[in-house]
Amino acid sequence: MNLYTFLLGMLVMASAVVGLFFLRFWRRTRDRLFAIFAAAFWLMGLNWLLLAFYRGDEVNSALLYLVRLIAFVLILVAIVDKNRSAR
Amino acid sequence: MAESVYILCALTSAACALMLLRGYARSRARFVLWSSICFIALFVNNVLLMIDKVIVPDRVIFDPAWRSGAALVGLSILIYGLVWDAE
Amino acid sequence: MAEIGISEEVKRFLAGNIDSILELEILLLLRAQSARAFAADELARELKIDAAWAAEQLARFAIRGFLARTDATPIQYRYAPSSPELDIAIAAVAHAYGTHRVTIVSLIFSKPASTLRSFADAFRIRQPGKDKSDG
Repeated sequence: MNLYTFLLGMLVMASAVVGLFFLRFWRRTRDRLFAIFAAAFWLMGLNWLLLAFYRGDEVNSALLYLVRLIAFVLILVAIVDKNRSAR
Repeated sequence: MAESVYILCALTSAACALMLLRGYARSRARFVLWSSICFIALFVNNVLLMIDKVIVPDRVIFDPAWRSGAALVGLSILIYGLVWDAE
Repeated sequence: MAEIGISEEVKRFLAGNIDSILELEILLLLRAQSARAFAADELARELKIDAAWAAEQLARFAIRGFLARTDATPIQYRYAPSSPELDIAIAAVAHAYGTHRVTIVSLIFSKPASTLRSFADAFRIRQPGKDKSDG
C-alpha cells in the first residue's frame, strides 16, 4: 500500500458520493443535467478504480483513456443538452 | 489519441469551471463556487497528466500522488459544498 | 408534502420554469389572450408592475419557448408554445391553478433549491436574465 493507491481509493469513494448527491438532485429537480453529471462522476470514479488496479499496465491504458473520455464527453453532452432544450 | 483525451478533459473542466464561476458571480450561491473550484482542480489534474504522459513521456515530472491529490482536493471541496451548501 | 391533485407534469413545469406567482400570472394572462401580442409596457401597465422587469420576464419566457417575439418596435410577445407537449403542460398548469390555487401557490413558494437552479443555469450559454421580484 502506498500513498498513491490510497489517494486513488479516496478518489473512488469521493466520486461515488458526489454521484449519489447528483442523483438525488436529479430526483428533486427532474433536471437531466444532474443525472448526466452523476453518471460522469461515477465514470471518473471507475477511471480511478481501474488506475488503482492496472497502473503501469499498457494494455489497459486504452480502457482507462476511454472511461475518462466518456466521463468528460458526458459532461459536454449535459451542457449541450441544457442549452438546446428550453428548460 | 492520449493527447486528445487529456486535452478534451482539460478543456471541458476549464469550461465548466469558468461557467460555474460566472454562475457564482450571478447567483452568489456558495455551492456554485465550490463546484467551480472542483472543476479547476480537475483541470489541474488533467493538465498534469497531460504533461506527464504526453509532453514528456519518458520522465515523470509530477509525482502521481500529487496529481491525484489535486483532484482529491477538488472533490473534497465539492463534497463539503454538497453537504453544507447545496440545499 | 400533500400536493394531492397536482400532476407530475405540472409540478415539473413549475419547478423548472416558475419562480413567483407573478411570473405564472403573466404566462397565463398571455395564454388567455393568445390572439393578442403584448409589449412589456402594456403588461406593466395592466399588472401594475415594473416595465423593465416585465421585459426581462417576457424575454425569458420567449427563450424557453413559451412565447413568440414579434420584430416590431416595441418588441411584442404572443403566447406560442414551441411544442404541443409544452402547450399541454401549460394548459395543465392553468387548469390546476384554477382548481387548486392554494396548492400551486405553496408549490411555487416552497420551491426547493434555487441553489441547484443556479448550478444548472450556470451551464446555459445564453443566460435568461432575471431579477427575482416578489410575486
